[in-house]
Amino acid sequence: MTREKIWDPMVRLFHWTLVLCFAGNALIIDDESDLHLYVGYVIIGLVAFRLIWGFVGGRYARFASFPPSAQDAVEQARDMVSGRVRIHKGHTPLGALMIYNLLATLALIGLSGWLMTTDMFWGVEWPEEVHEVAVSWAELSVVLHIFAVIFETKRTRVNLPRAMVTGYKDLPE
Amino acid sequence: MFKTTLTAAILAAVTATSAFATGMVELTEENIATITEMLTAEGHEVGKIKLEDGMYEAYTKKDGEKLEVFLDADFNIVKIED
Repeated sequence: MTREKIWDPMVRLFHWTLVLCFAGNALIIDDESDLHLYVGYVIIGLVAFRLIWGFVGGRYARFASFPPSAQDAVEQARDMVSGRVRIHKGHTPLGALMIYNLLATLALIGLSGWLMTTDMFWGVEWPEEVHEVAVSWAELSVVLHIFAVIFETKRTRVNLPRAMVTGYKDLPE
Repeated sequence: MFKTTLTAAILAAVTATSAFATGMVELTEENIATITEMLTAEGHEVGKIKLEDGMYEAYTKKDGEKLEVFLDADFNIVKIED
C-alpha cells in the first residue's frame, strides 16, 4: 500500500459544503423562505468555483485529469461486472461523468431557481417545473453516486469516502 | 325528545357540511378564474396560483412590485407578501 495525496483541500471543502447545502435546500429548508434562496446562491457560487478550480486547482481537481470518455466509462462498467480491479488514482471514468452530470444539473437548478425570482419570470410556471424536475434528477443522481462509491470502495478496497475527508487514498502497489 | 335530538343532529350535519364546503381550498378552474378576476380588478397582473398552508397563493405583479397574495377559502385576502 502507498498513501497518496489525491484531493486538495478546496475539492474536499467544495464537496462537503455542497452536500450540506444541497441536502438542506432539497430536504429541510422551507422552499418559500429567504434562506432557501441564500443557500441556493451559495450553491451557484460553489458550482462556479468548481468550474474555475477545474482549470487551476490541484492535479486531480483539473478537468484535464478526468475528461469525459464513453469508452473508458464502458470499460469501468465491465470491470465492475467482471470483478476485475484497475485502480484510478483520481476520478474514475464513471465518477467523472457523474461529476459533469451533477455540475450541469446544479447549474440548471440554480438558473431556474433564480429565474423564478426575477421580474420577468415572476409567477411563470415553467421555471418552477424545470427547477423541480432538475432537483429530482439531482436527488436520483446523489443516491446513485452514494451507492457507486460504496460499491467501488468494496470492489477496489480503496476507501473513497475517507479519501474525500482526509484527501489521501491508500493505493495497492 | 327523539325528534329534538334528530333535528339537532340534522342541523349539526347541515352546519358541518356547509362549513366544510366553504372551508375547501381547491385549485379548480372555477376558483382560479374567480381569484384571477378578483385580483385583476384590483390592478394585479396575476401569474401562477398555488396552494400553501391551506390558502391560495397567487403570484402577482402590481405597480412594478412582485407580490404573493394569500387568500382564504372564501377568497378573502389574508396577507400580501412582497
